[in-house]
Amino acid sequence: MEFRNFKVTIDNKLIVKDFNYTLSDGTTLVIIGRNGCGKSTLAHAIMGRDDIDVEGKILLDKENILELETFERARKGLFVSWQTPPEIAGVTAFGLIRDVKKVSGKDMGAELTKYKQLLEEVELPSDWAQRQVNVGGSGGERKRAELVNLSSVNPDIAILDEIDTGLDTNGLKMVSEIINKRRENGKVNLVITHNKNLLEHLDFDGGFVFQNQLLLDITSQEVKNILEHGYN
Amino acid sequence: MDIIEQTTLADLWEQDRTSDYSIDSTRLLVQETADSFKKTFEASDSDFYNSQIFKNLWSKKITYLGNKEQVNTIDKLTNTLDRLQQGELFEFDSGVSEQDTHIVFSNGSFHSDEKRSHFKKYNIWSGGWKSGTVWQAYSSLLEYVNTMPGILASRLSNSVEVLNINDYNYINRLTLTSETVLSNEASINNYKIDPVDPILDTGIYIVRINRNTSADIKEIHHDIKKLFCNQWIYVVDYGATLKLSREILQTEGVIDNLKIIQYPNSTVEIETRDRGNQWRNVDILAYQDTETIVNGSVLLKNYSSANFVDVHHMGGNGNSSIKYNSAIYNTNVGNFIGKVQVDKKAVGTKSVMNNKNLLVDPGAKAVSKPILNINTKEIECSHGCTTSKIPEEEIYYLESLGLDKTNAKAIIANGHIQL
Repeated sequence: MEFRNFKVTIDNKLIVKDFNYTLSDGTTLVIIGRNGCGKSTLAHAIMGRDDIDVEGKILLDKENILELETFERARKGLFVSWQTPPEIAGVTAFGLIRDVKKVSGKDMGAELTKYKQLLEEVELPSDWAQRQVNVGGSGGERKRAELVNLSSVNPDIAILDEIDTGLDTNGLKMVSEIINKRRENGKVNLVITHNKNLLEHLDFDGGFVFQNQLLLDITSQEVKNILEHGYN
Repeated sequence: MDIIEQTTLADLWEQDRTSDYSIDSTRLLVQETADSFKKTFEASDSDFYNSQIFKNLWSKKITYLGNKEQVNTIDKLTNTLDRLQQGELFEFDSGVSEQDTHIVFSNGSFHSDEKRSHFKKYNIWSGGWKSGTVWQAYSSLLEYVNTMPGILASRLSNSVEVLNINDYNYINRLTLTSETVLSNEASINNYKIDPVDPILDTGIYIVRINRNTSADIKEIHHDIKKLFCNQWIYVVDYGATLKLSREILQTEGVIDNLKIIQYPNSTVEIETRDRGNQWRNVDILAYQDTETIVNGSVLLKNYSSANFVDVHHMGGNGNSSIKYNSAIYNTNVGNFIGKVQVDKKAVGTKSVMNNKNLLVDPGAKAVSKPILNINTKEIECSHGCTTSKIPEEEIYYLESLGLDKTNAKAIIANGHIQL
């Protein structure tokens, strides 16, 4: 995926300007920045949220995805895990994935078995499958559920927006393992985080830091240093 | 072809027509009662009849087959029904009974699509043209027939159908359906004509669940050529339990009145699936120590609908819960009027009423009126109603997983109406 002169604004406020970068397969990059600098906005700008204005191009398979609807971007292999995923009353967690993946009839049993394995991997109870999407779930549970969606959909490019918040030490390790495995399988991960502990187990190839509406390309060591010592 | 009559429910209502086949004395009573109700209703400016959906159904062009065609139906039915042993209404416990769980109602008759067996579970009895007993019993319940569609159904039907459920040892599961499954069934479906306008299917159905008996009943309306106008009466005796599931599949419309009389210590659970093109009134009289649950799932994609629920607590310590969730598309209108009445002696009543409407499209509309009429102290009653649009965030969340907007909205709407 290639960014060309990518620019993001929301409510007339400039978030990112002149971003040019080409993502390579099988990489994990960490995105850091101070609170309110627009990390989540960037994630959703790439995904195509209506209220965010974008300019420039993001080329994926030679197609400018900025001209596509959100669902079309998702179908082309883009995924954003939400910082605060919403509740959808009356819709079960498995029912949603079943609809997303258009599973029906005889494939249903196998899909459910697979889904329950994913729940086990992220240490969610197996009855989560039948629970309403995120309803009554704690922050940590919702993040784990986002990871289940990630693994179920298995997108080529995933933007993980503070997927580590609300997770305990075991949870952080589990997140890292899932991301590392994706990287090994040639997938791209953009990991938005404030948490240096996440990086202990994460294999990553560098990152970006937000500075004056620019996304600066930095090394893994620089990412660690900033998270350790602060943005000054 | 002289049997076909193009008309409307409104015209039939004006004609003061009562079936030629009913017993004279009863016919007179039905007519007198209908007349007195009619005067009251026409004078009142009731919410009942003001909705567009009522006006649409009431003035819809229909084909009324009249009594002649019904005679043919009854002739066919008589062969079957002759085998049924008659007894005193609500007291008989003998007779040919059913093992099956699929019973068809059509034009004033319950009948079965399965082989009859020797199991004593249900007594189905179609009186009307043979005996006055059913009519007498019906007459005693007539005061509960208190809507225009209910009265009209009473006037147009030539028999009253009674289903008597009195098995202490089983939960009786059965389906009452308008579908005809077997070709040899007696049914108005076997007409040889193919009228342009939908055929009126009207009837009076009394279902009695006897003492300490449980019944799990499914009502299904399914006939793409018919408009239904029915009066239902369920009598739930002391300690009895009724679980009633009401479903309308494809029809030309349903306009009906359901009256439930709940004796002490009885339980009633109703689940209604409303997909529009219907006007339904559920009226429940509950004596002391009763449990009443009425849930409605309303999905209005192509039609509007109106649901009225009235739970009247006449005795103490009754619990009731009314919940209707609607998802409304296009420019359709979902009407919900819920009423809880608590009499002076109904101390200790607990009641909750909720109506949640989701407007899927900008032109959709919900009319919601929760009414509490409390005449005593020491009760806990509450009600709430909400009408909202689908939050953009929820749609975007589903889109970000690869679902298009239409699909995303449908998933959220279907989730909203889950009971």
